[in-house]
Amino acid sequence: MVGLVLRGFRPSDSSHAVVNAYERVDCMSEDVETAAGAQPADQAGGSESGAGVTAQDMRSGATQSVRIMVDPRGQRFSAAISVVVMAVALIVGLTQDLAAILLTIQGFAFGIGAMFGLRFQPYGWLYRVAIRPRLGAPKEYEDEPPPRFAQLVGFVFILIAVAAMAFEVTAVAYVAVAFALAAAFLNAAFGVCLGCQVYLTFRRITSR
Amino acid sequence: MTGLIVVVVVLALATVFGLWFRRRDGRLQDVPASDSRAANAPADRALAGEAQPSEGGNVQPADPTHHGGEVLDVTQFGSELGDRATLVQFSSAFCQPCRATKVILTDIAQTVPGVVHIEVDAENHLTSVRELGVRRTPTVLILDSAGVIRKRAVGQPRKADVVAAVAAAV
Repeated sequence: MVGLVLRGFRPSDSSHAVVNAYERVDCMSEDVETAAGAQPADQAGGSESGAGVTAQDMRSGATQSVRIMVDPRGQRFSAAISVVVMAVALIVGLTQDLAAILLTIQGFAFGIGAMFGLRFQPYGWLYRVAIRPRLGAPKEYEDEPPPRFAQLVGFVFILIAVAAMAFEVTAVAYVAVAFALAAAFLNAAFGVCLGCQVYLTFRRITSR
Repeated sequence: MTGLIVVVVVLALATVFGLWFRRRDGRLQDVPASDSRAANAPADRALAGEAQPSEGGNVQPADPTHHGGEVLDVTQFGSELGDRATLVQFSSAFCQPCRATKVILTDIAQTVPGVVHIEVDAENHLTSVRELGVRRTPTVLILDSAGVIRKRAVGQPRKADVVAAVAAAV
């Protein structure tokens, strides 16, 4: 069941679009090798396609026809806004209406990013419109699925928090927002995708 | 007030975790010998440079004549061992550093003769993932010519470390 939901995140699903969240990189590729080769201006030496014996085994969902690439700075910018929004909600106090409103907005932001892709994520849009033009092109791009998965993880925590607030189980709400805040902060400050780190462990447990 | 405390505590803990994670991520570690006789080999320290002041201080096998590491059968991944060394990379769909890791390892495999890079989709090989105790991706195993696991890195390893470890594995 969860596996099914996750499948929806696989890049293999996204054969319809090459547009990405913050800018467009055309990486039409048959397989993972060429996708790695498409990484701009980074390790130019090793990025010819057809890399020897490598990756013969990526025969699963990780092999796909189109990869959506995102500007990692946009992802971190979004995470920073999420940190601020959630921190303000916490400081206001989770019994307050303002906190409920802020977390609902945050939940929508995460949910949209997870469900429709980062290019529709409101904070990502803000980055693209307001920040990105001042920064210029990024040195490198990264795959969309990991940050998109992170949005899903954030969404689940916010969902728990808002539900807990509705049922006035404030302690649970604090814990849930605390986790989401920690994950977003790690992303913004260190570029670590906590949800992604946990993903394999999760798969190990859930599938036989 | 509660919220403010939560914010401060969470940010403090996350900062500590982030710094710790960054320090530890991608560091090559010796793989403990399954055989307890391989207990002392301080010489190995020099091979990977300052890259691994292993905290525990008790993980140092790698006596070239007697290494008790585990042999990994790479034919299960549809590949052959390299003549000198094999770099096995476990990747997954939701993995930021996997692609950069792949670029590094592919580059080494192309420039160093006898070195082969194998990328394994962890989700399709959950049995080996469990056996090897792979918890997150990328996890990189460096095998010597006999297929014995000599080094292991969780996270994106530095290129120089891998090159040094490959040289040591021969």
